[in-house]
This record gives sequence, structure tokens and C-alpha cells, in this order.
Amino acid sequence: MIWKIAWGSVVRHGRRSLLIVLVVAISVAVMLFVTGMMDGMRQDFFETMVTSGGHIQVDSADTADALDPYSLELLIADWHGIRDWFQSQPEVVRAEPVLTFGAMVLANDHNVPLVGYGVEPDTGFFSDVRSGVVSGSFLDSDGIMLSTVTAGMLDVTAGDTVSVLVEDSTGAPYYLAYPVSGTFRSDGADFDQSAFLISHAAAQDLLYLGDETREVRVVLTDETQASTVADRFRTSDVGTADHLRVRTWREINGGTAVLLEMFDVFMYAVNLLIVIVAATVITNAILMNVFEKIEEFGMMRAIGLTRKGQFGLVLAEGASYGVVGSLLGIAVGVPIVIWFSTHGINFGEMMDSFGLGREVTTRFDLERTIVTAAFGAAVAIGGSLYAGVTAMRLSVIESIRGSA
Amino acid sequence: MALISLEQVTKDYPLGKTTIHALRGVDITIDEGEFTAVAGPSGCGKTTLLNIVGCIDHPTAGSVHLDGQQVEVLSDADEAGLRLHKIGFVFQNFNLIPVLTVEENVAFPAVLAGTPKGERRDYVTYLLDAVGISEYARHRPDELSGGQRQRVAVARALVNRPSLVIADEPTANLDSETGDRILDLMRTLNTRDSVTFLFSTHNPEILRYAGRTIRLRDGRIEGTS
Repeated sequence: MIWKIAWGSVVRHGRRSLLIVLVVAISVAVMLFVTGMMDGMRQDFFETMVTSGGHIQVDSADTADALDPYSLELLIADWHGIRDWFQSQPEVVRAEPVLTFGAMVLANDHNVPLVGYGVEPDTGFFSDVRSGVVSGSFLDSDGIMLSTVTAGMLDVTAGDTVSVLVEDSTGAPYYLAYPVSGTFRSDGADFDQSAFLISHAAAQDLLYLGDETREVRVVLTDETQASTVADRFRTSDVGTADHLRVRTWREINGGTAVLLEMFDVFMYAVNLLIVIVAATVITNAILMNVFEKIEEFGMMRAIGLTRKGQFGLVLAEGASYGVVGSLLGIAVGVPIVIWFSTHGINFGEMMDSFGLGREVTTRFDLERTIVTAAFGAAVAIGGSLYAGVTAMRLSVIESIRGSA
Repeated sequence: MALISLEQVTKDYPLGKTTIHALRGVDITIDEGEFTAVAGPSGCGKTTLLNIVGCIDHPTAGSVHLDGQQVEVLSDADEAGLRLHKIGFVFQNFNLIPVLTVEENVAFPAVLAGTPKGERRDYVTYLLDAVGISEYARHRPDELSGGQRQRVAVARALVNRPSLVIADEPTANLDSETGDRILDLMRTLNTRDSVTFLFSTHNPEILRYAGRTIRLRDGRIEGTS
């Protein structure tokens, strides 16, 4: 019956109730969207990290101080042992060599300076390139993968031939011709404008190398294990060599990781602001309800309702607003989050410049949705606390007279 | 046996720099089963007296005993319990809960008292029948006339089988015919079920129903008849 009275009050104060319900609903929907977007950005970041850089990278210790990061003097020769060590660890999903180098790609009297990535044809990295194939197919052992941007500048398409000119390990210029296996459009504009892929073995041939590579990239089952596995590697027989540098994803992507943490702070600040605004509106609106029903409350107290009971009645009213508002917020917010999880929000170059890709997709999370909805209801109940305390403090006689 | 006992009860209200003396040393004793009216002109202290007897206001001085219990020493929660279990109220403006049906309004104090559902339902049905309003059980208060609403209020006042029913000007907002019916009903419940009634009125016509009349003037008892 208490709930019926509370619900009756919600219905009775039509416009004011609509305002409160809308405030709760908008708050829940905005919180769902903001948290969904932040979750999506974080997920995109880690997916990009997993698909390109990995959680751990092992390369030459001299790379840190090198003026030319693509110098062929900064290679590691014992990469098979490193890869095998990582692959024997239970936390490791895969470990692969990646051979990066500077090159000039030529075709049809056009030339473009690019960074070449020598990768294994069945590589688990660069999955956004694999999924972003526009024409042809993903890398074969003899071919080259160009972005649509580069292919357009060179005026080539899948099946055409391009030449790749490098300075080989002897210091002499050298070039080889490769058929274009396919063209791609990845999630990163910078990568598309600056990179091409060939097979690791083809890169070694082109650069006139022995069995050397630039780095070994490692993907783990969980990014939180990166420090543990890296430390274990540093103390292993393979990892103690002085010429090796071992970096975790946090060391590689320090700037972006800090940026994500700043986004988290921003998200909490936005949510806090929403909560404060919503709670203020709800408090005032329910307080108006209380003062309008002051004589009714006085009558209830006169016939035996306790102060606690009266407090509970106001809280039940707040909870009614909270539940209805949260359900409406879910009804509005969840479809928005799901829609943007498949369509993405294009922030263009701005977001890309942070290394987070052009497009941010939201992420729907059922548990977070339930928590946010419960939080919305809690905000409504919290907003009604002051009104409840005010109602509770009124004396019976003042209430009956309506003179509080 | 005395159900209500007031000894030298005074009630003052500060009003700016002056003080309104609503009650000035009132002594009253009311026995169980009485049907007592408090009469007097407007502003004589009738409502103040009923509020103090009904434990919704406190005297400035003096003592009040209800059913042998000294009221002033009770905590707020105990006072609420006393009002819930031992006192029924009938207000001048009916004061029903607009979002509840008639039967829910009547049942509300019983819900607060924790009366088992079956027992509550049976007694509410009995009361609605007793006050002649059972056909409107599922109606809301705004669908009833003033007289019907006051009947509902009387039924609500009786639902926890109180020792005392206090009615503050129960017929003030009713036409004379309807007012007579309400007083007939209260009188019937008094004689048939031995419910003690204490009601106020400034209408001399109503006083013929009272077993005893306490006349107030300027906060003092002018006489009893």
C-alpha cells in the first residue's frame, strides 16, 4: 500500500513527474553512452595494440638511442630462440618476428617513401589490414600489400607490379619487383599513408640479410600479465643478453595509456556532474511534492504513521521515479550504444592523432548497463533523501495545519 | 473507569511578541463509552483540546493520561503507536488518501498496525457495511459525496478498534441532513460497540446527540452538561 501511495503521487504530479523521470532517463542514457564510448575506446586501443604492436616487444637495445630507427645495424639475430621462449610460456598467445625498414615504392613513374613491414604471411598481427582488404587478398609469400592511399598515389591495383627500392645491408641500393597481393584500408590513417607489408622472408631477401629481424612481438592472454612475463624473460637464459631491449605495452604506448586514463577521469567527472545536476533537480521536485502533500502527511502521521514510515514513503516515491526513469534511460540509451557499436563515431583526424584510430565504436556491456540503471535509481532515491528528512522532521500539528 | 484525564492543561502559542493562551488550566475526565461533545465559539480552544487529547500536540503545562498512560513522557514513536492503536481520528476535511480506494483508505491504519491480511479484509468489509458505504468499496474518494467521504473517515477511525475516536467538527463541511446521518452513525457505534467518542462542534443543533457536553470559552471550561 505504501508503494501504491508512492506511485499514486508519481501519477498525480504529472508534469513534475515527467520532468523527474526525464532527468533520470537522460542521466542514465548519457552515462550509458559515455561509459560505452570510453569502454569502446579502451577496447579499440587494446585490440589495436594486440593486432599491431603486441603486449611485449623485444628489439635491439641500441634502438632507444638510434637516430635512424630503421637502421639495419639495429637487428637481432637470435630471434628464433626469443620467439621459442615466449611461445613456451603459458600466458603467451603468439610471438612473431617483425622486420621494419625504410623503402621507396615505385610504379608508373611515381614513387612514395614508405615503411616496410616484413611479417609472416599467416601473421596474427595487422588483423585490421587483413579485415580491411579492399581489393585482391591478404599477403602471399611473394606479394606486397599496399594501402588504398598508396595504391592510388602509385596508380596501381591488385595484380599490378611495383618496385621496392632499399639500401641493403651492404649499404648499396637494391630493388626487387613485387606483385600487389591486395590493397587495404586499416583503422589508422597514419599507418595507411606510411606503410606496406611484405613477407618476412621476402624482406630479409630484399635487405640482403641473414636470418635476422628487427623485433619480436608478443601477444598475451591478458595485458595485465605483461610486466610479469617481461620480467621473467629478462631473467631467462635468452633474455639476459645485453643487446636486447624488452618493453611492455605500457612502455611502448605510454602516451596513449595516460590519455586513456585521462579519459577515464573525464568520464568520472562527466558522470559526477550528471549525478549532481540530476540529484538537485530530483531533490527540488520531490520537495515540492512533499510540501504540496503536507496536510496529507500530517493526517497519515495523526493516524499512526511513524516518522520513519513517512521517510520511507518519500523514499519509495523517489525509488518509483528512479525505476521508471532508469528503465526509460535503458530503453533510449542501450539502442544508441548498440547502434554506435556497429556504426562507430567518426572523430576524424583528431582522434587518429591520439593514436586511437579515426572511428570510435561504443561497447555494450550488460553488467555495466545494469549497474548504471541501478545507479540512476540510486540517484533518484538519493535525491529524495533530503525531501524525506524534511518530511520526517515536520511535526504532526504543523503538517495538519499545513503551516510548515 | 476514566479513559481520558486532563489535569490543569494549558496551551500557549507564541505569536510575535504576544502569546495566545489557547487553553488555560483545563481539567477533564472522560469515561469509557461516553459520547462527549466539546462545544464553544470559534477560537475557544476546541481543536487545541482535541489535538492534545489525541496526542498530536503537547500541552505547555499540565498532564494528560490516556487509558492510564501519561502521554507527555512518551517518545515520538510511542506516541505514534498510541495514536495508531488507541485513537481514531475523524477530520473536518475528511482527509482521505486520494490515490487509494475507499477500502484501502479504511484499511490503511490496519496495514500500519500490521494486522494480518485476512483479518484486516474481514473487518474492513464489516466496517464499510456498518457505515453503509460497502457498495463504494472500490471507488476513489473523489468519486464520493462529502457525507460518503466522512463515513469512510469514520470507518477508518474504527479499523484498529481504538479506545477513543476523536472527531474535530465532523459535520462542519456537510449539509445538515448529511451531518445528522453522520452523528446518527457515530451514536449507533457508540451504543452498539461501546466506542468512546469525543467530538467538537460549534453548532448547537448537533449537541442534542451528545451524552455530555463540555463548553469552552476563551480556553477555559465554562460548564458541563
